[in-house]
Amino acid sequence: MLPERALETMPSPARRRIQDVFDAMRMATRVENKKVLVALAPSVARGFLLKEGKQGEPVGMRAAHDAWFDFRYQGDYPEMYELYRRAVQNQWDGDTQLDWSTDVDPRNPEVPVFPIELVPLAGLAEHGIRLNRDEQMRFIHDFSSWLLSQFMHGEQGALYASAQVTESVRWVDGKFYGATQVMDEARHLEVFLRYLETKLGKLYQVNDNLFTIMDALMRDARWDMKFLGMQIMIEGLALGAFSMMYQSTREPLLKELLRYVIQDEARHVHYGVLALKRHFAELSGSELREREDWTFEVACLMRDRFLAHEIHDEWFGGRLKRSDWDRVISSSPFMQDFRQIMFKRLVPNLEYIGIFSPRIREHYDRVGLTRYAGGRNASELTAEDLLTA
Amino acid sequence: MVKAAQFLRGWFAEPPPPFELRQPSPRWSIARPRESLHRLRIAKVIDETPSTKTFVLEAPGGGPPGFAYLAGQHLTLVLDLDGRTERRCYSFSSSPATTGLPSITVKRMPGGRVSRHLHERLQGGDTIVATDPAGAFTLEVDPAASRHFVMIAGGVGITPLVSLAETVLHREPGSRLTLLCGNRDAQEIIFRARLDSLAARFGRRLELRHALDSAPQGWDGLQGALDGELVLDALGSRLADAYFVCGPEPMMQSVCAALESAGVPRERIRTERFAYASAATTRIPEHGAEITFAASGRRIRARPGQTILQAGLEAGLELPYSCTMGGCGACKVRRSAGTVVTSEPNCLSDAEREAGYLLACCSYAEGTVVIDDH
Repeated sequence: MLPERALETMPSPARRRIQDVFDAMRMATRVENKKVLVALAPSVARGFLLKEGKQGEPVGMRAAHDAWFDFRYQGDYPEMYELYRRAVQNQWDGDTQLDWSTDVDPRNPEVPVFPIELVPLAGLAEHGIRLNRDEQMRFIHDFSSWLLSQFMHGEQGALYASAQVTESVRWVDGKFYGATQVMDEARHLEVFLRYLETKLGKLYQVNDNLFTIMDALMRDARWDMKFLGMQIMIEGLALGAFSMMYQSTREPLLKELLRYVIQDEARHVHYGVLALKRHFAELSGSELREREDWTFEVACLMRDRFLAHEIHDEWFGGRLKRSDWDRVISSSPFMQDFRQIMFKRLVPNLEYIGIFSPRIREHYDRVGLTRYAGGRNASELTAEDLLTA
Repeated sequence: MVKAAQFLRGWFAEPPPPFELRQPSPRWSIARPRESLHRLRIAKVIDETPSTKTFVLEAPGGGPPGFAYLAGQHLTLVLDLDGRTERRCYSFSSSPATTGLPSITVKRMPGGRVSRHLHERLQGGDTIVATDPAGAFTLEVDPAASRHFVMIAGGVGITPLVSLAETVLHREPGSRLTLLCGNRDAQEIIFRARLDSLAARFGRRLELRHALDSAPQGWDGLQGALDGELVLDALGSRLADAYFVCGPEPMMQSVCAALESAGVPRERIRTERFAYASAATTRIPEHGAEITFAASGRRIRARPGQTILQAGLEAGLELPYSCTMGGCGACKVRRSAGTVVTSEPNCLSDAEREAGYLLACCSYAEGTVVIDDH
């Protein structure tokens, strides 16, 4: 690979592209399972190299799954049907149940959308970058917009993935439930978009990592990979992230918005767990290994998604090397807490559905993700942990 | 080739910024505007029964409040209790067909934060905040109509029904109604004098019948819980034009099932359920408490701040659970004794709440609690 000094002599657009190539290569060389590499490589190329998510145009992702019809209409999964009924009863209206008349000033330190600790001011100072008070407020505004934009993009992915899952799942009761999730995701997309448009006024492009994950699971023909990617990984991590954001925001509208969204997300993860627990029990050893490896790669992509390269490029592109930024952002206390809460919720679910063997645990150990896993099971995080500020 | 050239050119061209500055889309303004909030003054508090009070409402400066309402609708009160916003819906007990200020009637619920606050703290002259009146448990009044309505009230379920009944009696002179009211005992009959007065004034147009779970000696009304069987006995085989039912969930289920079994078309039956609008997270008890799991006989102690689920798991009980945040219902258990505090919102249905179910993951024992299962 090119030494960093040579990289610095290049024009910044070329430098960024080469760094993206490095990121993609790092990702590809890390993958040991050939099947996983074959499954993910095209999406990595579209996300990191072709930047399909950043072209400012609608992006097509060709789906290859079967839509399953069942004309017998058996009550084939009572727990899913119960979940469906709960979902129906708990639908909410983001238009009328959230107070959109709330005045939001994303640069007001008295009522912060997110606390100033979100941004790594100390780490930046170590590299000679000191922001004055006004810059700090602008920076936190941008970072908040970036973070919420990514979750909004994730909700768009969840909307289409849940529609695919509804088609491809084979239990009729699962289809009932899946339809409610489609509605949930539309509502989430609506409220995040509305918040970004009307309160923060700034939308960021989709992050390459997130694009890659969505592309991979949208195109994968196997229904369980869609479940695994969307219900367990994206939704599971989002649930942790939303709870962290819920606890840290002091802005009442966002807090209320997240409170509603969290209730839905909890159901979505439960749906994935129900479906995969039953399905994975019937898979062969090699099929399970492939899913473990795939999940691990997606977890790495999810971890790196929060490196916020879009923010780096906008704010510090010419002043701070991306590798230094990665270290600064990775080691900031807030982002560490953020990851800890996210991954703490993920691992118990992976254990429960049977794809967290000692073999794959070593992989997670190696990249430092088990240090975030912490607890033995999900009971460590209660509703009050998640919802009480 | 063209694509490849574009791709390579992109390597040396400054990319567009990674963000877009956005103006609010016009479609957001198409959406219904946020409910308006009304500041209201309590004009008077009336003790209806030992557990029920009526709050008469007026504008802050006196006179009628600045909203219109329909019989059968409710107000959502928005209260700030200990720094948390709580919302609760209460039906109008007044009728818009009569002169006078609007009122709501509130039963004090065991363990109910808001109803306790209203009963213990609110007095005449105090101010509260409420959203616009809402609800579809209404009827379209037709002064030329000649209809027979049946209204069946369980306990405080009389609240919207008395409003509807008065409205029909005043605005539809050709119509009549049968009103069945069920209560535990004579002391708990809400609006008794008002209902008697209506019966005396409107004579044959209002057939009023009370049912008591515990009837005193010499009681000439209906005896027993007002369930489907008793309702059918009381109504006979006559089919009415519309049935309005409001009360506890088991009673409503029983009555609706009985009416349907008696041949009443489902579309003629209207029901109103009492539900939380959108409650805030509940304050957690700051003390520990004992929890007994009846099936296993295990008796454990929850530490302050521990949910029933956490305490049970810590004690080694194999309790089912999944999301641990009130969203999936996997940890649903039934309580046979004791009081709990439950974080809201959660996915428990009104029927489940009425039947004594709770979600162990977001419920805290306030005192000694007995769980039937496990």
